[in-house]
Formats: sequence, C-alpha cells, structure tokens
Amino acid sequence: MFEARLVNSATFKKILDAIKDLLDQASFDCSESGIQLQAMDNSHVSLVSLNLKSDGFDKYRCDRSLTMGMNLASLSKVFRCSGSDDTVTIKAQDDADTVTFMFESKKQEKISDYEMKLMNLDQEHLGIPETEFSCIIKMPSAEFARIVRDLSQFGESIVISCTKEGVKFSTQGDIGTGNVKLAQTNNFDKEEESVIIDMQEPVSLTFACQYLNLFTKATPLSNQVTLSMCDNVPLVVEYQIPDLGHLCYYLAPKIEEDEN
Amino acid sequence: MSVEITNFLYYSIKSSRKTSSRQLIMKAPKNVRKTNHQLTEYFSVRKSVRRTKKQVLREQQRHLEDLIINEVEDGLECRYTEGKGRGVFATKDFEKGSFVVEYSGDFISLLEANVREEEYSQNESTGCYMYYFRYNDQTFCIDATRESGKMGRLINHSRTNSNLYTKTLLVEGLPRLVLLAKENIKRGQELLYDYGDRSRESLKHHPWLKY
Repeated sequence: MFEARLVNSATFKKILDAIKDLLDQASFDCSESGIQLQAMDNSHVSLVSLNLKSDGFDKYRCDRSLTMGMNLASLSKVFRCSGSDDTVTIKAQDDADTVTFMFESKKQEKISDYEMKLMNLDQEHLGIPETEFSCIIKMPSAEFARIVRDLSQFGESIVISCTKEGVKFSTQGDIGTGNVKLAQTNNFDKEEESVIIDMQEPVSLTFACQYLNLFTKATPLSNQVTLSMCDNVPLVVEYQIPDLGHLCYYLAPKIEEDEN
Repeated sequence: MSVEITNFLYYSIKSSRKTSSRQLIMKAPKNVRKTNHQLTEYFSVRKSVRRTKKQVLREQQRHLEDLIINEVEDGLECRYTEGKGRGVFATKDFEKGSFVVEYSGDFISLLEANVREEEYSQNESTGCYMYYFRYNDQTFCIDATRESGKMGRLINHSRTNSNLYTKTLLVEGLPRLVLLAKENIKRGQELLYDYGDRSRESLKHHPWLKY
C-alpha cells in the first residue's frame, strides 16, 4: 500500500508543469524515504532528477517500494482538475496497475478522485557521480528565466562564463549578439535577491537555449536557482522545493567539433 | 531626371549586394559547428537496476509458478533399474536450489486420503504415491497413484543420499508440491528425495524406506 498526502496540491502541479514539457513519460520510484524520479528527455541531452522527501508530505506511507510509470500528459490532465487550494492524496496498492488521486477542497465540501492507468516503462537509470564544481552560481530564479528567455530570441545557444567578478550570459545569432552580465551582490540583506558566486576556477560553457528555457518552467517552485558548472561536465540547474525536496536538471554542454 | 533614376537604381542594387556580402561574413563563424553532447557520454547507464530482496523473492516465486502452471518437466528421463523398478534420472545439470519437477497428482483432504488409502491397501500391487504435507496447520495429501505419465511421482526414495527436497507453494490458490535440487546435480545422476515416512506401519510394508 502506498499513500501520500500533500495539503498543498499546487506544489505538485508546479512540479508537473516543470517537467511535462521535457518528458513524455516517467517512472515515480516510491520508497520509505520518499518519491524519486529520474528520466532523460527523448534526445538524451538533458535529465530530470526529482527528489521528494517523505517527511515533506503531510502523510506518507509506503509499505513496499514501488515504481509507478506515468504518462505525464495524462497526469497533467488529472491535476488540471484540482483547485489551487485542494489537498491531494496519491494512493496505490502494491503491484497495482492504477494510481488514484483524490482532491479535497479546503472546507471538505468537494471531494473528487481520479484513477489513472500506470505504464510499464523500461527506463535507463543513470549513475550520477559526485562532482567538485568549478563554479556554483546562486541567483534569483526569475532573473535566470528572464535572461534565458531574452537571449534565446537571438541565438540557439547561450555561453555561460563565470569569473570572480560575476557571471556573463552571451549569445550569438544571425542578427547579432547579446550579453548579460551579473555582478556578485555585495549587499546580502535579501538573500533571495542576491547573486552569489562560489568559484574555484573560471569556467565557460555553451548550452542549448531550448533546454534552458524548458528548465525555467520550474521557476514558480523556488525564488532561487543554483547553477553548477565544471569543464566537460553537464550543467546542473537546481531548484529547491521548500520543505519537500528538490528538482534538478542536468544538461550536456555543446562542444565545438574538432575541424580536423 | 531619368539619369538620376538609373543612378538611384544602380545604387540600390549595389547596396543590396553589399548587405548580402555582409551577411555572408557574419555567417562565417558559424562554420565552427557546435554540437550538443548527450548526457550518457558523462553519466553511465546503470545496467543493473537494484532490486530489494523482497522483489527478488517475488520474482523467483513467480518464475516457479510459471514452471508449475506450464507443467515443465525438462531434463528428466524415466529408466528401469534392477530392484527399485522405475526411477528418474537427470538428462541435464540442475543447479542447487533450482526447480526440478512438480509432484503432481490429485490434491485431496486428509479425510479423502484415508478413504483412498483404504481402497489402495486392498490391492498389493499398488505402490505408495500418497504425499502428505501440512499447509496452514492442516494436513493435505497429493495422491499420485493414478498413472499420469508425470515424472514427479516416479522419483525414488533415499533417506541418506537424497539430492532433492520438497517445497509447498501456493499457485492460483491451491498448495502445490515442488521438488527442488538440494545440491548441484550432474546429468546422468538418479534423482532421489526423502519420502519422510518413518511410521512403523509403513516400514513394515516398505523396508526400503529406512535407507
């Protein structure tokens, strides 16, 4: 028996919105410690890793570890039926081929439930090694979303360069170039508004705008975003989900092909 | 007037040429192609998805159930041996713990078994093919007396040299008896298990049960 109750169903909705454009389907691995999801997009360029701690739920019970393969478009349909103040309860029997979502309105006067068929997904799990990153940039998530959106008008890829002074996002396209520089904040009064750079050595990497734009769908989840970079290692874009866990995106860099 | 117009046209053509050539220059750096790499180049795919012990056990159970339902009797051969009559020999190697054959027959209650036992005792030529076992604190019996062509019922007894053991398994709601390899069995070996019957009455009729 699996049962997880989240008073704030809107959070789950936001998570779903943050991954459904990148993934068609995904497996939710439920265990005693919580819910995990790891999946690559179809092109295998990016990876989504979601981790929700069991403590973060208002009620959590998982007698046996189970994997629930779901079509995310269908799951979105289910959550579209929920109100913003609703409480959601996710339920599944051991070895079940369906999962039930129950939505309760705040005053309990309306209860709706939706049962969805599960899928048997044969997904590859990736082992992600611990990495010592050269640069870790913490910045307001809305700012990051804005920069990526602005620059992707001009080119297909964005170069993120990080030095001690700050971080530079630049792009180049048929009509010209664009650059956005962010300096490290000196004043730490408001942590969620500041840009904090933890740098071991300068790094400059190129990434496809298309994916970065999809990652920024997670912006409503968190005020801050963390970008971790290292030469020859995928970029990690991390959003903390308050009290519940985190959502990480990994993106393989674009690398200049050797002309010779 | 007309000269001016041609002049103008001439210029406009020229300027359009100019822009096109500039565009070419701007496109030039694009020859350095940047290709997107895949994540699988950085992170290795975990070939073995770890499973919990429970899951492994459940899968084994399911595998056994499949073998029973499909009445698998692979790698077995019935041969006639001097003194013991028919016996079953392995025609392939069996790994320790693996499924060998089901002891299949009629699944009957103790009451029914007593009635049949009485019936069979009338005829001296009837062998003993009744297998009693306990399941959920109740005694049941698999009666394989009927010539069914199944291998399980033909396996001989050995108290000291057995290489099989029995296990009760619930399949589709009914308890079934399976014989599993107690050790690694080589092809050609005779398959033997301990019938477990130690009662005085049985020993009197079948002294071979002692060994």
